[in-house]
Amino acid sequence: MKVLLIEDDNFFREFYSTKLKEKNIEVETAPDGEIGFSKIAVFNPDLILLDIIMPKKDGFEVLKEMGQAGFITKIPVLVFSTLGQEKDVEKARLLGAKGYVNKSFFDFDKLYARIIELSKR
Amino acid sequence: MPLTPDDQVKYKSLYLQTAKPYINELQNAFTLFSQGNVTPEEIEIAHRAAHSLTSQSNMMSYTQIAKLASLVEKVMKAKVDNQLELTPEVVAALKAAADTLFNTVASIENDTGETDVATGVENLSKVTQILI
Repeated sequence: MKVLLIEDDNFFREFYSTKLKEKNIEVETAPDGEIGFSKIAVFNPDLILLDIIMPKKDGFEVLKEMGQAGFITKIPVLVFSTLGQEKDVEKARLLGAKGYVNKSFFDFDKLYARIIELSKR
Repeated sequence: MPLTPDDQVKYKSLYLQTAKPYINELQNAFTLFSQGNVTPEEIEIAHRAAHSLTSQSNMMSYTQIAKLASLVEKVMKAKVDNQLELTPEVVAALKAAADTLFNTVASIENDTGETDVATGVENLSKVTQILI
């Protein structure tokens, strides 16, 4: 199982990366959307965890480019959100994201179950 | 669901390591604003820094920092959306808020816990009419 984690915040990148690795998931990380997008074809992840507010290329731009490149129908994407980003989540869904994770108030076991469920499709 | 107590201890130093640069970014941006240097890039940097600080503080259950950082984030989002003017009063309140955030993080680092941010929240809300 391989997860690409695209997140500019070092705290969350480190935290989620560690937690996922504890579940024996292979994790590749990217600190912005530009690097993240460039890693999709190389890493070929089973699932992508994608932040929305990022420098260089935000989550929406990554989703749009994934759509143009044909990745969005093959690789499920869960976007990271926080409280008050409901409109952003809806916009991400319209661009092809499969769901969202509230990155501040989370249940890691639920996230893990969702990752397994989505990556099996 | 917040972090477990074990994880809070485990990730505290990482939190401090990442929170401080965000607060520095806020202080730098608000100093530039006070000098009349308001650029879209600095507005975006301040918005992103406040957003990240809010998220990671919520996760660590640092509710006081999260509360004030969230208000700063809303204020900067209003500026990003051209719905707010950065008057001298607003910039002064933002600078004060960033200093309060700095002091509160220092308190956490010194193991004296968070300080109350009510005054900073009240002042910034008052001059921007933006509620938390």
